[in-house]
Amino acid sequence: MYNFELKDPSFLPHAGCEIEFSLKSSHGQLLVGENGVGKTTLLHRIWKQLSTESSVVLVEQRPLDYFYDRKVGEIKKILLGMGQKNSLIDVWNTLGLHEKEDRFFSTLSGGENQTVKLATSLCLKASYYLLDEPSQFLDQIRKKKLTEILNQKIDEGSSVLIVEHNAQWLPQGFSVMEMISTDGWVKKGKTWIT
Amino acid sequence: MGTRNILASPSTLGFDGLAILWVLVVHSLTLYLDQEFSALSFVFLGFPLFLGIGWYFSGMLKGKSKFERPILLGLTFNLLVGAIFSLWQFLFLAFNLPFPVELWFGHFRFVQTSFLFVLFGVELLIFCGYFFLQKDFLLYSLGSSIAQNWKHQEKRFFIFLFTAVALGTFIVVSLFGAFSFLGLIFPIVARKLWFKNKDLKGELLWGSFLNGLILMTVDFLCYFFPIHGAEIPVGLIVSSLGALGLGAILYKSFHRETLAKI
Repeated sequence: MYNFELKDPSFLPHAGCEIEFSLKSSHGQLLVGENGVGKTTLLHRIWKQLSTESSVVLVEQRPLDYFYDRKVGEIKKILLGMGQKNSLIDVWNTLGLHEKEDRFFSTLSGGENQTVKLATSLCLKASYYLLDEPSQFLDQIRKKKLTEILNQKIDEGSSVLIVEHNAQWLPQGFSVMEMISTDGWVKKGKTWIT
Repeated sequence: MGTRNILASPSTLGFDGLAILWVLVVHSLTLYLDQEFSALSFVFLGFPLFLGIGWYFSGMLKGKSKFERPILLGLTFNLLVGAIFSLWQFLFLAFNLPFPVELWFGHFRFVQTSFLFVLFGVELLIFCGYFFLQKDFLLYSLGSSIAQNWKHQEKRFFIFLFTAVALGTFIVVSLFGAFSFLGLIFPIVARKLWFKNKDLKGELLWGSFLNGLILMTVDFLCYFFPIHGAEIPVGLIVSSLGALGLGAILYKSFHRETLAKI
């Protein structure tokens, strides 16, 4: 279990906060909150703190934009050469990317781009998975597949923290944490903190 | 290179300017102390200093994602060095001193065999580093967000990139003179003409060979076809092409932005 504690007045200046919560192994949490409350900033802060001592995978919100003139299959080929062969193929096929390997990256839709981003990150073994709005642009089928993969990670003993705007997409077995900012106050769960 | 910004190059970031400034300092000392420094000795004397100053300034860029300001800073520094260089030439004229033409835009006819050994040594070091970090190059060519999860050793990678670029620029300028914009035009040629976008292997490995070949061809033509007995400095041609290349890139990006708005 990792106990995340934040006591930094310069963090989230509009909210000015102290935050404390636990990232337990074999557990999934969904952190929800309105725009600008500081969810992404918080996620990066957790990643920064965690990555010095544990294996962490961070899936960022920004789309992949680095290889417009490459085929999807080429990205897979490079990553296969880096190891994690079996898990990459598993996640790749589960998310249906094997059917799109001949497509150029520039021709992918937002959801397909998001799927490539998820596949290249979730094939890795880690103690913690931090995901920033992983369900954006995804259709229902892929959301379901993503839930399966995340639940598998939890079963394997990892801790998963997801950040979303709301709990519309709530993977099975995940607990919800709410983050609300109102004039310098932040609500974590049922407790208001300053 | 690490920034993947098309405008970021050893020239625009001020590496060239810093190397030229060092060359001017050593030659001024040579005149003042009336003592001859060989080109190789000031390479070895100056490199730690060059690396130190470069390292200090590159620390200022840490964590910055927008590179427009460092590029402007580098260009401003180049202009300053250009002005100092002109003033330096003026003083030679004013005091009726023989100007060391080997410093002026790269005359290869002053090349000594020992220079080639130094060049080969540096090339070998850079290639060894490249093969040692090949995995990091491949990962970084997939973008930072994938690379960070795949345990890309970013710090080690950037130290290598910085040292390779600084060392390469410093050696070339120290041994062959002031090639302004050399580091501007060639990376762009490597990025734009032959290789896939963001292909680090193509840019670094094959791009270097092709660029070297072009430079040697131009130099060959300049050496064997002098104008009224005078060799046209290769660096002058490269500088003109570099400036035109920079203008073309800026125009192209401006044109693309205008089209996107329509």
